[in-house]
Amino acid sequence: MAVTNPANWRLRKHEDKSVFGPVHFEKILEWARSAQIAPQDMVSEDGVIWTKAPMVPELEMDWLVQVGDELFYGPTTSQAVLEFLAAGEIRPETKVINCRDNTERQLKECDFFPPSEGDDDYALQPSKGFIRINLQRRIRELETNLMDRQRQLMQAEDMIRKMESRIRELEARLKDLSNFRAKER
Amino acid sequence: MPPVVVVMKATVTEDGKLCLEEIPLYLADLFTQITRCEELGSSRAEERLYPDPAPDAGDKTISDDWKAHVQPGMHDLFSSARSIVDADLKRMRPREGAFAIQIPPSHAEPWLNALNQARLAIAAHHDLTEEDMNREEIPAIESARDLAIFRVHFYGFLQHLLLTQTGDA
Repeated sequence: MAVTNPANWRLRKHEDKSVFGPVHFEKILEWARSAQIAPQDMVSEDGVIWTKAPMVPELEMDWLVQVGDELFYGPTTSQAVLEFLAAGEIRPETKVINCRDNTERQLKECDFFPPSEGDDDYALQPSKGFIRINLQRRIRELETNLMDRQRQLMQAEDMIRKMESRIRELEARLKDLSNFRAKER
Repeated sequence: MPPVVVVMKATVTEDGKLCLEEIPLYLADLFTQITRCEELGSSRAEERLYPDPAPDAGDKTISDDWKAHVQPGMHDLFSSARSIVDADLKRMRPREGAFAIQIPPSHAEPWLNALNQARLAIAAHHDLTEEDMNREEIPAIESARDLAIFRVHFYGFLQHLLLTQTGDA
């Protein structure tokens, strides 16, 4: 897909279908480089025909990142990969695949990886605060925790109800016993 | 309109790559739609891809546990498979008026997964029946439904190629 109409590009987010633009293609490129375009997002230069962002060669979303056993994220830009690194989402040893030639390597072996004297600096750089790869996973963890807590709460409430019932039962028996003793006297 | 005929060349390299060549434009477009077909985002497709394991159970615990513990893993797996297919599709190149693509053997599993997602999503979205899918001949494409049936068959054909031609699948 060649960029023929650079002034009128649009971005449609996969998650909520929200559309950004029209903006100049340079803006789209900037968003891609700052990891604001996800691999499933669509772009269009006329608002009619939409293409998956990684399929636009000019966006250079050429990298797949291994984020777990047999799990990959991408294709995304090299700059976005470095942002994930700065955010602590991935490590220099993380496997990445160049989609253009299907070659695999560790991130630290890539040309765009920070130079050796800055190896320790990447962790000190402020991230933009966007945790994209694991954000949904984190939300799900929190939802799971919430669900577990709700279940524990329900169990505790059930236990309280049973104990209250038991107390009432014992109080009734105590009352009966008191009445019985009173009659005996 | 005569039935659609699928013509493309399939070979396997010594290192196990499935090479698809002479892919006409209309089929190349179907390739790109494996991971971005509109049906994948529809609610019917979501229900089909992530079904409730116990829809009739009075106790919602099973469904809640499924959604919390199993569905996220499925989601990650599906998304990862689509990423790998997208990466391969980025290398689909025009060659002598048609297109060509190579699928490494290690990518066969994600391709099968992504193709399955697309087939299930299309079938669910268009409410395709067994009768639709069991027709002796693929009909001429005269409606969106006919195209949906053709796409399901085509993606099934690609799955067949992957299963029979690549060692890793």
